[in-house]
Amino acid sequence: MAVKVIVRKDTYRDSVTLMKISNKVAELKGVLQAAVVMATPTNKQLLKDVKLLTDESKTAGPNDLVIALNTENQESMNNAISEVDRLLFAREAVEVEEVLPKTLDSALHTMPDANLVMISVPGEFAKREALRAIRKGLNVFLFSSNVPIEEELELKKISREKGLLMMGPDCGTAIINNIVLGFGNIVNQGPIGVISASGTGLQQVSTLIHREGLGISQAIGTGGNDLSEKIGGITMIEGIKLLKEDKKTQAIVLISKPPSPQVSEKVLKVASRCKKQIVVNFLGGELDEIREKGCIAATTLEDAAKTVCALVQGKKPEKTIFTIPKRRIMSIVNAESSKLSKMQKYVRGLFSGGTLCYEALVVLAPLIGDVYSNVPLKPNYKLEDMNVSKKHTCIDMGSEEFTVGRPHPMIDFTLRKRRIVQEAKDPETAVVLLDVVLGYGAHQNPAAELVPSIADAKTVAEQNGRFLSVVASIVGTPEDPQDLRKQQRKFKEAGVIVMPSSAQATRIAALIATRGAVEEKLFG
Amino acid sequence: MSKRENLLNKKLKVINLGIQTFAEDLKKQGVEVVHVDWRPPAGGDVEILKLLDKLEEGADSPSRNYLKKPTSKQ
Repeated sequence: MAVKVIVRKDTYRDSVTLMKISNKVAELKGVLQAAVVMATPTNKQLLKDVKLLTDESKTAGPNDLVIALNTENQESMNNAISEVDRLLFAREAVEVEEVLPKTLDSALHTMPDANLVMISVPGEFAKREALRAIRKGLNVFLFSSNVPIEEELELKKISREKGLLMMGPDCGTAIINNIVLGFGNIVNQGPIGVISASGTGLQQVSTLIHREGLGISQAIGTGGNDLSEKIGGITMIEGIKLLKEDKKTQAIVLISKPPSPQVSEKVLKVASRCKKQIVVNFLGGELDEIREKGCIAATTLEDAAKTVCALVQGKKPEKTIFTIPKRRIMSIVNAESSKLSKMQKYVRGLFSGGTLCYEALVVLAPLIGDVYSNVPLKPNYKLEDMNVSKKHTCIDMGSEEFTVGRPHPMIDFTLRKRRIVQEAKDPETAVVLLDVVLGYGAHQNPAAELVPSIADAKTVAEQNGRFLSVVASIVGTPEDPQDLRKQQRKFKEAGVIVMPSSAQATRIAALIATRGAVEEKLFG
Repeated sequence: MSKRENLLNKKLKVINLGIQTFAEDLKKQGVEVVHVDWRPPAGGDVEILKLLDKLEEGADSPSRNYLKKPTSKQ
């Protein structure tokens, strides 16, 4: 075995570029571990944890690149090092084609009429750059995470004073005049405005609106902390005011996990003064409070999308359980569940989208009871070991414990692939439930990653005399770079039950695992 | 018209700091974008950066401008 840690001074690369390089090198033959990271305090701690922090890398700074490799032998080590260099230089070769500005100020000389700054620098530098942009009178889309909440509050207060829009920190996606920012899907332009504290929540709602034949006027991301007590929903409130005046927006959808009562009251008060119809989905939150304020309450992301579409078309919103006829659903459920063995009883949800995981917990609770998770609805259902499922389990694989030092599961499928097979080995697993997210920023071909692991998992079950049911939903549109239809086809060919939304996928998973026992609870 | 309305009512023009693929994705959508070749400032030393920012803030303050005046006349 060979271990080597190399420091390249003054060689800065952005986090996505480094993720891609780390991934490619890790896939090489004979490479056991590969980390190509900037020497930030967080990354140095990670290297220390895996005993790869050398004296040289200890003194390296955030401008220095650390290449830490663990390989089977010296030959693999040499190959890995030259591949890292090749990938780093390939990047450089593209960059030298044009001279890029080094600072926001010099970029403003090139583009004096810019109206938005996108910031995705490491969290410790994010406030500094965002503040500079705001002082120059620019709206901000702040993708960076790990920004302290005090800094978020300061940035949001100054933006509000200056009449600017501050999306984020930790804002994954937005759509401004049909342009997708960050991680997002290609959807129709249309009359519906969305303001969301959740990136995947925004993606699910906007793609379902697109599939209904309608479209998005503007979609504003607030960042996950916006509706916390400390921030008080500043961006959501400013967003409502902005969309209230936006002529292209006829109706508005608000999406968040349930905020604290005070913040909820504040946001709904502003919403109630807006003359446009407002659909609110505070996932799993109180519905009466929303209705009392004159807004329309939605129970799931799909419900929010369907309700707002009905409203702008002058139709009466209808509750959606499945968009496929009940008879067809029950025939799929019977076909799948009849192949399960007696011991196979549980749903195992493995999610890349945090809000889709949360929604699954909310959908499953009234059907099959509380579900174990790394992000449970009730503290006593927190998994002792996030790597081992227990009874019904849903895991948010994009949460911090899975992503420290690793790319997000929408880009890197390694852990999810492993976990799918692991669940198949458990004789109590009946259904593996998955989400797949397409669009800009996401993996170029999720099916190519997941389908072979699904096939392996089904084989493992079969070898042990069992059948494994796999259910998935895909967030995306046919216009996305990955093409929703192509992806759906590949999953279906692999024997996966592909449902039109994450809520529907969750419901059919519950039906299959319980052999249809929750039919009455669902359909009444 | 406040500046946030500029975002919705004018053509989107973006300055991108950080992840380069975000700028590439915007270009694919026909958006004018300037990508900044961002590096951690002050060698990434957050403490030195705080001091530099304080100095810079001082340069914008009225007292600093007052101090500057005599030199500008020279």
